[in-house]
Amino acid sequence: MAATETNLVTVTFDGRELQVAPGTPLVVAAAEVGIEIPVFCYEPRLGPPIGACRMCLVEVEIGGRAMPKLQAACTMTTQDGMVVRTAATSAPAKEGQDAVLEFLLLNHPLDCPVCDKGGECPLQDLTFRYGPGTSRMTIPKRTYEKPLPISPSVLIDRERCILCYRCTRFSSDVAEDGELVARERGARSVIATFEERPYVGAFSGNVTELCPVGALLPTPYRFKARPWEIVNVPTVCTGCAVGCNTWVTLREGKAERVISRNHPEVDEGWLCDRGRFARHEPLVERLAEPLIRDSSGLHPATWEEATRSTAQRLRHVSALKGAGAVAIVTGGNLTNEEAYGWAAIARSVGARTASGPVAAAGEWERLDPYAARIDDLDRSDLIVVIGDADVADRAGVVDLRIRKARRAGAHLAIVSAGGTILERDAGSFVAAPAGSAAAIVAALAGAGAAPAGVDLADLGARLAVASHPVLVVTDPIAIALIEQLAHTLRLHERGGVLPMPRGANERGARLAGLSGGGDAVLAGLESGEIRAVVLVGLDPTAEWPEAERWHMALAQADHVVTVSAFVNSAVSWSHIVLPQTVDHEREGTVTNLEGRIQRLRPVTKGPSGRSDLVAIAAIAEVLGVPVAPTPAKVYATLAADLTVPLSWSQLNGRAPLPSRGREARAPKKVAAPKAPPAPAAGRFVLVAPRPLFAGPAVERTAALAHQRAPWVMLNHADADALGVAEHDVISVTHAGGTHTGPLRISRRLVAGAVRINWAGAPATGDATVVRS
Amino acid sequence: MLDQVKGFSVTLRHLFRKPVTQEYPEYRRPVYPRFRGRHQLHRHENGLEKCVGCSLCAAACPADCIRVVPAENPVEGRVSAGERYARIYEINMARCIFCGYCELACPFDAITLGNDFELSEISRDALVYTKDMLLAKPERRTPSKSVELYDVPVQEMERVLGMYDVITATNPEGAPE
Amino acid sequence: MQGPTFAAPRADAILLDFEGERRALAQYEAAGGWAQAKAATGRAFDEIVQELKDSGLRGRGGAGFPTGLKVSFIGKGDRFLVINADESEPGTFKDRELILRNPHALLEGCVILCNAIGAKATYIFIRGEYATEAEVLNAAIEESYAKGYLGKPLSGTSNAVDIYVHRGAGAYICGEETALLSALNGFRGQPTAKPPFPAVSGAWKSPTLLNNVETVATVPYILAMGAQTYQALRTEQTTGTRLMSLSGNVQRPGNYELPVTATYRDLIDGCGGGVAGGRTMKAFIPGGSSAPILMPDMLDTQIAVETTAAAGSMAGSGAVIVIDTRTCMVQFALRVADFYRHESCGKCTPCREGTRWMVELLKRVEAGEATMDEIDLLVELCDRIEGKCLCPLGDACAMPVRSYLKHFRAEFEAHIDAPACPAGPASPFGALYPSLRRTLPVVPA
Repeated sequence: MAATETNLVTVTFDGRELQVAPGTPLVVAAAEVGIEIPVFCYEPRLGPPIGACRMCLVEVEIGGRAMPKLQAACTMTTQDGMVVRTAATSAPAKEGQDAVLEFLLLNHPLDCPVCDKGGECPLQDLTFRYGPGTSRMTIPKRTYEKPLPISPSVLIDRERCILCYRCTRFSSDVAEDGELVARERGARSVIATFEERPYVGAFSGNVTELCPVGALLPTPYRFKARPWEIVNVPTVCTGCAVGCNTWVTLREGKAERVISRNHPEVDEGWLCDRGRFARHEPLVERLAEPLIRDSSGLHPATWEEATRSTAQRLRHVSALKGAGAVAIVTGGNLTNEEAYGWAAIARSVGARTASGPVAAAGEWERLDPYAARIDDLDRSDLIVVIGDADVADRAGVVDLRIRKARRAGAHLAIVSAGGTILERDAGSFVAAPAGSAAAIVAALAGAGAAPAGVDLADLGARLAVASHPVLVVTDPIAIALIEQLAHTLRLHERGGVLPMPRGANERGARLAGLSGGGDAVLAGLESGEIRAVVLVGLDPTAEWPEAERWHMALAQADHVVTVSAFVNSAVSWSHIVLPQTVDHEREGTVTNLEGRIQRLRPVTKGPSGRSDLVAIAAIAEVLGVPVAPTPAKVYATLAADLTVPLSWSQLNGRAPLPSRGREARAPKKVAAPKAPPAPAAGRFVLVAPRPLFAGPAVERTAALAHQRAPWVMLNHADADALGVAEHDVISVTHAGGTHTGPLRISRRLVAGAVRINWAGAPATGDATVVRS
Repeated sequence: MLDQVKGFSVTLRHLFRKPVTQEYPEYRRPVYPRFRGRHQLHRHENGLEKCVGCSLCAAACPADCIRVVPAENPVEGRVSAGERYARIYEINMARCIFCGYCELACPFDAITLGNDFELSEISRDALVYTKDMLLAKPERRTPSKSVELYDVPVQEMERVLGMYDVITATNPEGAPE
Repeated sequence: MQGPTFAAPRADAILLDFEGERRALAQYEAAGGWAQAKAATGRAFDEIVQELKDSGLRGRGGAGFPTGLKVSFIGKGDRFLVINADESEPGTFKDRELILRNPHALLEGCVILCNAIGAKATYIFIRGEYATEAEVLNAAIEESYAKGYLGKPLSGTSNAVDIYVHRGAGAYICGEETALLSALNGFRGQPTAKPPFPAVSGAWKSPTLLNNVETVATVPYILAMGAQTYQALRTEQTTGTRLMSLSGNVQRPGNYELPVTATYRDLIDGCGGGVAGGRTMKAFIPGGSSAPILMPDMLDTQIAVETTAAAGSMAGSGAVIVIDTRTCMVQFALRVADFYRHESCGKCTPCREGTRWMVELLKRVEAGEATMDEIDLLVELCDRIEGKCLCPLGDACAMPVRSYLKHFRAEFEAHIDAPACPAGPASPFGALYPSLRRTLPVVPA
């Protein structure tokens, strides 16, 4: 039969006709007519199909002639006039399916009762549906030592492995870390890491979801629950500004595991290991009740007392000293509704607010006319990444999306000091001095000269002709500079800029009214203008730059109120401490880096048993400001204020992102920033962007300890000059402390710089490097 | 009047008949061997528990009365014969309907229903049986009839089955083998 | 160590029509070598393809695909020529002799084909075990570079050809073209799904022409004598001569070049001197261990591709293995299946698990522990593996074992509950699996 439209061909599946695009894998086309062809190794997110497991064998006729052998429906693609018979209508195909399952079960151990995958296992399901009922096996199965830890967070059970190669393909073709490989051959093939070293990589946990059997399983979830004993609650990860959609697995009131809920536009089903494994544990160390300080120290108090005291102090200070004497500071890990509540409180006492450490680096709304969406990367032909920080450190799975775009043909251009994991397969790499991202952005916009020795001509030429360029700036530079460049490049007409906020809900906090920067608050505290400060879910001495200054400034303030989940150092100067809920305990919405608003659902109750919004509403009430204690109501108000076209219930499931207008005004000219001073002789420039695996939750998760192992990176010439070799233990001392770890040699890291994965308060400047 | 006498005569007749009442608890009637009563968790001969904490009994239970929390076998002092063991194993006898589905579901013959039904307690909490209680022999034993009298011999079973078309996994047509 | 002795050539030999070896370039040139490569530079791609098609040359690696047709399929773009010198089919050792005795013929053939398709480089993938052969090849290549045949364009063309020898690391599966290309490109040596075919996307994702050593070495001779003359020596569908590797229980094992009109009897009795020790032939394999077995009544089959197929087997790589009546077919089947189990790459399920299952079942049969059901299961296993795998290795295990079971079923059944192998201690393969014997150890004959 001829194709009826120019692009479609006619294919028949078990007698059902279908018009489909030519070149579609038969497995996909069959699903469109409601026919399930079982698969194991087929997973479209891993790249082209490989036809390894042979589970999808079907009978195929082309042009009236039957093909002599059964074909794999994943590698065979649709052609006009093809007739396909699956196991439902073809005895040979049914026998093929039965044979493959029998072969798979041959060496598969009888582990179902003790295997965590039991109950949610595709091998079990397909055997039940298509496989043999009894075993004809009279020979011994092959055995291995099991389970073996492939890393502290992932276990491998080689006996259960059916060698579908999904994990090795993920490692080589998605995360591109090449850590998981197949060794040996034939029935003795095993999945392994190089020399049994642990799988260190930001995305290793994804193999536990990809594995169709219980061979790769997450260690923290081992023996915790069975699928019929749990409830999966749909929510969103709040580890970074991407907002990957997740299911949180709940058993008997405890959140046991996090798996992906696959929002194709945001995370495509991937999770970084921080989002997957980091937990705010143990529960016993969480703050469970408010604390008020009196002459003898901090003592427990009731919520009533604490919220009243907070409100009264704020009102008192603002009445006494006037507007601007109170500051409300957050790191961006609160919901939109909580931010709205604090903003209302701030307005009533004329308080200054801050949602990021540096004001100029937090004005994300300037980029709205140029804002790209995460899936713009899929359509991009040129991706430009500027900055010393890795994309994975700032926005987890966006790294995987960039790699996918590059494999699909986009040109990836990186401008950095070198040593990032993304640049290994970049199309072009421009070495720039450490900390010069602002100067590079200004130079590309024509507002200043490029730093010495940096040739941006090729990049400029590419940017000029790209049809869908996406710009990513990973270092915290003034947004006005990015806006200037975006406008110069006309990124409101083609492609766009992908914002990289630090805090998970920094954008939402700003929009809700907590705009402003920590630098202004710090200045105000030091000058004595600010007398009272509220720290919401943030310890600036641990997470923001200028830690020492914050330390001194907070000690001077008259009133410090801390809202925190754990006892941290800010608690030591606090006059009032309110317990905070964390990720799985919250209800509300968060706004991701694209501006997409997504709903959080509470999975468990925090140890205090009370949601933060109720406490905020109580404080607001004392101040005479109406704030509803339920997130849905606050959202309604917030959405109305910001003219967001989505209602609370429309945020269910996979939240959409309505398109926005892209009219851009030419921004005011912004001068290029001064270059940072060169380090003194014998000292190195410090490159220490905040790594992905940093923060209180990560530090408390044993399964992630190996991801935090410290390392030091030097240029090979510098290493030779210092007389140190790879793996030598090196100590790097800088303004924030000393960092010691084994040396990695990089050929790309600029000379005179030292890169470390320092997870303390952000440190810049220079450092000394000595062999330890 | 005559009817009254007739009625009373029935009563009078039965007054002197031996009652069929079995005087419990002095006389405890033996139950059939397959009577489903109190659960029993079993051990292997070497002392290791058979239960590996797989939770299939909990899944099969229609009354949702079993709670299993598994854990890894400690390196020193292994508890069960498998990769894992039941750290917590509780059955709420107040919910249990004694259907025996847990016994059918168990892949290791770790749990069986014994014959004991004298399980009254004064408080509901005492009716939640823990693993130690289930592993131990029950205190009050119910007598049961002899197994030999009631188990059907294999040949007899085959004779009976041969009379019907029994559909099994290897014999989907149910034809006599 | 004594080097190999080579058989004297027959009158109708083409590739090895001389005694001894011609490793030195001067020797090869004196016999007329490199003249064809120089002459062919002026000929267009279509012309060479037509000549090859007219000659009827078929691939000598085992598949027997018409060479002219294969060359014509080469895709557009930067092209490569890859030579499959991974000769690992059990019983095959003809490419080895060709390389040891006449390496320059291969190199000249490479240059002719490279100039025809416009390829700048040839990669010879040689099995790792052929260490001496790789040295000989490299020495020949060095001589050719020195003489200007390689690295510089021949006169009449602008295409300079480089030849690289890439040594394998001991995997039969790398004889399969996509696995070979995978290994050549630095990946795990496992086959990949086709399409894409190597002619479109092969070495480094470029269009690649991949041929066996003997096939390419024949090209200069075809051009020298002309396609018409070459194909005059022919059966209906096969032309020219074939290098046959004869081994097993014969008097004179070795490589013999015979015209395709010759029969297996000509090879075994004529060249090989018949079954050794005056014993009787039980069966023979015409084309490497992947070929189904043939009974002695098929000895008069011509060694051409279609005639061997009609006889119920395949011409394959031309490795003829002779089996005499001492051999226990169960042990033989076990040895053959064990080879495929060991060499299975493990990518696809039926081959990986099925070959292992087959070996374990055959071990049980040999040990006398199997039941009749398991022997039936063996036959069913062959059907369940064949046609379902990613590459022909699975078929290569299933087809021969099925033929052994078909022709020698009684022997398999005789093993059931037998206290010892019925073939007794005389069977040559018995010593391979001594632990399978349930009774006393083997007493030498």
